[in-house]
Amino acid sequence: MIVVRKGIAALACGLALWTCAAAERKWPQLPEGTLPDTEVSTNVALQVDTARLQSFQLRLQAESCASNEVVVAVGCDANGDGDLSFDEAAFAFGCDCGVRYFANYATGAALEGVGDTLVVGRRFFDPTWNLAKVVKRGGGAVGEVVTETVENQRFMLIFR
Amino acid sequence: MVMDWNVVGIFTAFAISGVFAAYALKRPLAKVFARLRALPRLAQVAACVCVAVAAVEAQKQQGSTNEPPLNAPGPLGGIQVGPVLRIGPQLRLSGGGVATVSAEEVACGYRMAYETNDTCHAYAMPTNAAYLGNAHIRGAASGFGMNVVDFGDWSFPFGSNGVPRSRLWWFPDGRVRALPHDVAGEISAGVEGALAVQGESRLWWAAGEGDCRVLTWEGVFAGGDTNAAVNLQVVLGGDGDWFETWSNEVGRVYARINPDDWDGDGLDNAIDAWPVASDGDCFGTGVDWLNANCSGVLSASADTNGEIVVGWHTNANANAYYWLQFTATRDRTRVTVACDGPSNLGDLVVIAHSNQVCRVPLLVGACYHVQASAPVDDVSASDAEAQITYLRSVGEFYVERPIELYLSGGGGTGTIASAPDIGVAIGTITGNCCEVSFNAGAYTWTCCGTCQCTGYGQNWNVTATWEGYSKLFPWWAQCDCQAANESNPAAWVGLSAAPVVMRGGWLGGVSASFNPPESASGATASLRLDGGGKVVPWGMENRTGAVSLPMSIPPGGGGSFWLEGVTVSDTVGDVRVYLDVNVGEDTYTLTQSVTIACVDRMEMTSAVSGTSENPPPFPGETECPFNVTNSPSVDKHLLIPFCNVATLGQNGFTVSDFAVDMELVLEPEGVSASGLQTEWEVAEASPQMSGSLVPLAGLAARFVNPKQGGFYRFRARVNGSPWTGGNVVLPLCGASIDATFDSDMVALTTIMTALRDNMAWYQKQDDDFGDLYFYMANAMDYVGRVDNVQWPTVWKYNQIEDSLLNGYYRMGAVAMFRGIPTRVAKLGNFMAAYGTKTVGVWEILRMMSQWKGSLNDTTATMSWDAGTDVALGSNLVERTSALALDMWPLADIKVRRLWPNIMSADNHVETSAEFDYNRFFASPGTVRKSRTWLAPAQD
Repeated sequence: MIVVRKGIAALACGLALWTCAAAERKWPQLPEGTLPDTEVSTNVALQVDTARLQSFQLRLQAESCASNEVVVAVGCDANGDGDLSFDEAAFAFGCDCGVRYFANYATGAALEGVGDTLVVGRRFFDPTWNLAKVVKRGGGAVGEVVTETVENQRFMLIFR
Repeated sequence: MVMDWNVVGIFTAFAISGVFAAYALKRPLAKVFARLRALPRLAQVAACVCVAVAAVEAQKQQGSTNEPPLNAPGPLGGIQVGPVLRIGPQLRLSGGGVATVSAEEVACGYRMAYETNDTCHAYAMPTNAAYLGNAHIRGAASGFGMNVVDFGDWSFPFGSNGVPRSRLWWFPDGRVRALPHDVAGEISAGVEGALAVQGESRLWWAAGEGDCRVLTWEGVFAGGDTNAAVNLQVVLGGDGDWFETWSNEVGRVYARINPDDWDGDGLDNAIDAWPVASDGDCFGTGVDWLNANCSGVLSASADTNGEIVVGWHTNANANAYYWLQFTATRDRTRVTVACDGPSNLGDLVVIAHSNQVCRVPLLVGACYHVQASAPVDDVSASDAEAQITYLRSVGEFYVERPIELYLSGGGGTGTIASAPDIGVAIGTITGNCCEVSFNAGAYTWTCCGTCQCTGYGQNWNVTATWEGYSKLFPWWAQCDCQAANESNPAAWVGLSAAPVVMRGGWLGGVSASFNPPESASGATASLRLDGGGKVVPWGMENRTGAVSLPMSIPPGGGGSFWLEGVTVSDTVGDVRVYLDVNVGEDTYTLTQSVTIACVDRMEMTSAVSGTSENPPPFPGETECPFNVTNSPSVDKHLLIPFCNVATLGQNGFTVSDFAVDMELVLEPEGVSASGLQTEWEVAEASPQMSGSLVPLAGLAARFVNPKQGGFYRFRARVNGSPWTGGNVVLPLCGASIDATFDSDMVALTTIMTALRDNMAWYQKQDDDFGDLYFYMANAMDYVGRVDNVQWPTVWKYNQIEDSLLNGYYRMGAVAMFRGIPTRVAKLGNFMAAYGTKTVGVWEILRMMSQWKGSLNDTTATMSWDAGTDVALGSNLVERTSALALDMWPLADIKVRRLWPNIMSADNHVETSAEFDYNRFFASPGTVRKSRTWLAPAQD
């Protein structure tokens, strides 16, 4: 089980996928947002055994309000700087002021009012995707930690 | 040097442990290797493979293989790159001038036109504006999210191709893209690092003045400076020609780059030698435009007054060109002038300012399709004959100055010409006879000896070319072959006659045509007949109208008559029709031969036919009826014996497929049947039709797969000749005798039982007793022919012996018994055995009684035994059914050739008096007596 805890109050999202690794590690604490835009973010590496992947599920559990947003973007860290830039992101799945949405950055397709779970089929999962970026805007507590636990056959990423 | 005693200690411990481990494992390892060496070679290899696989798997479990992780970044990092700008081969990026537009700008689709300090711009959100996203609520720094501005039915031409976009992606720092990753066409307000502050910054869009949309990032922090907010604004022009960006007090105007004219010099990229450099003012149709676009046919210059002077090249015919004039109504109006075919002038493109008068040269005879991006006025042509046809769309029309093309000259030589004369040449000529050669505008038509054109006109397809343009036109031409044919009447006349006329059939037509050339106006033609009394000519096909022969044929006309065949030709083609042509003192005769034919006979064969008493062929033009009672002199027929096609099984007979082939033979011998029409039909089928008649090619037909007995009469005729008939006979046996036999057995049982009970035992062994009840006067014989009037048997093949000399007087009939054709004499034999056994005749006497009458054959013995069995108690129907089934394979040909008859006999008579034994049959005498004795007494 991977559990990633992050300092975004009242919001949580889960990411579940199949893998076969077995490890546990803690991520550094998130820095406190210092700019007035309130936006903070962190990157979480994806270790996906695509040969055994059945589907990639991203579940967004959000106690959202009318003044916050959390978005998870997934893509390939092409320049290897450890940070997923907008142009590196393949898609974004989030909840903006209470409205859940999905945006495909490759095609420009965007859809509002989606459910809390995004499922990417094996055929559509790009093996190069190796980074997920969590972006939070609109306040909330800070200083939460990210813990990643991987179980055999299956693990779950939960962002809180 | 500092000694690390920890390292030393660990190394020493490992060394000592290794020594002890090697010593401890020495003997076990030696045993293991000894056992491995003892294994077969194959087992050793397998063991090594297992060890290798285990080692690799162990490495994999520890994640230490050399394989890269499956989720390692790919070469492009999973990011799709945008469309690549493709630059045509005509693009020259360097040269004798300065490029006025860069490749990057072409890729973006816009370029900065100028900067301005215009400060008259409002950043406050108007009342008709709409928020973009929620940046004013929760702030934003990066573009992650669903940041879309949707303009509804308004669109902005984006990128180098000007694709209209009604939905754009925005970023908090003043950028706009058509698609999230479309970096090439990105529009930027020019401020980096802008942040939207929670609760303060606003991003909105609104419809601006005119056809534009205004996007404003209001109150954002830029470049990390959080002390003072700035405003960013982008105004998008709806016509797509240009757009503006603003950042506070500094403004930049960006102009959209025309995808068809990057440098904006008025020359389409396709014809611009350097499309990224505005190397001349080519708007309109000035000197530069003319030289750039029409250099293939002209050179333009300006005189001292600035007027354009056009000089036509020496290889161009100035008469072949005229001018189209129009006036553009809007700036940058783009007009395409497309020719309907290749020419030296080619297609043209004009880009003109508003009110600019343009003059475009066009080619006479070609059709141009003119399309303008905006309406054009004052459209006219310098040639009054030019036709301008407007289409639905304003600014779209056709222009064509028609030209008349023709050939002049005669059959030998000629030239191509046009009106107006623009110097056309011949490109191709098709449809001609003989050989036509041409050079430029002249042609030569050389006749050859084998020409088949007969000297008359032909339709040519001629291609005319001028100024690199080609056009196809039809022409009618007449060659010199006509002169060559003046001495060849065979080319003038035609004669046809039916090659075969059937005697008594349809009439055969004769027709002739006579078309002499004009130069042979004195020629005459006449039609005559040498029939030898075998034909009668008629003017009409229905044998009416007198014909006067010889018949004169008028020039340019024809003549015809009809022939009736009355006598068959002695040889093929002995009737002749002649067409005589007289040219001066010479005579030419055309001849057609006719044969008067008839049907000589009809041949009929089959692979399963038997020996017919009167076999085919059938005489021609004769119906040949078939009568089943004609016997012993039977009508002509083909015989199909039942036994040749039938197989008897426990479930009855199975009839295999077979065919009968029929063909008419014509007289005289050797006459061709080609083109003759043969009719076949079933003239009679008794008792009913079975199988099918299939007409074949020529004079043949086939009768296929009949399954039922009877006779089938077919007939055929050729071209209406008298019918010729033929018969196929599948002879039916006599109808079923089952009912009569069963009734007779009741009567026989009654009388035999009475005799058994009322006579002394010795009386039954008396020879007179036997003769009286079992021998004399057909006491145990069915006599006569068993038949049915609807399903009659064929007398010839179901013959009744009527001679007393052979001892079979009025016997020999074959009838259906228990579903099997059976000789009825076997039933009498059965009855005799049954009666003698029932009465109680001694066995020795019964055996001796069989010597009377005919000698027993196998089937007689079988029927005698069956009668004995029934007398001893066997079931009558079952035993006799088995008897019939067993006897058929052993029966003689008379029985086996007859086809089963499904009907019951209807000609049984109860009399001992003389009767027509061919048409009726009677039961055995003892049975008839028993009925008399048992009948109630008559007062």
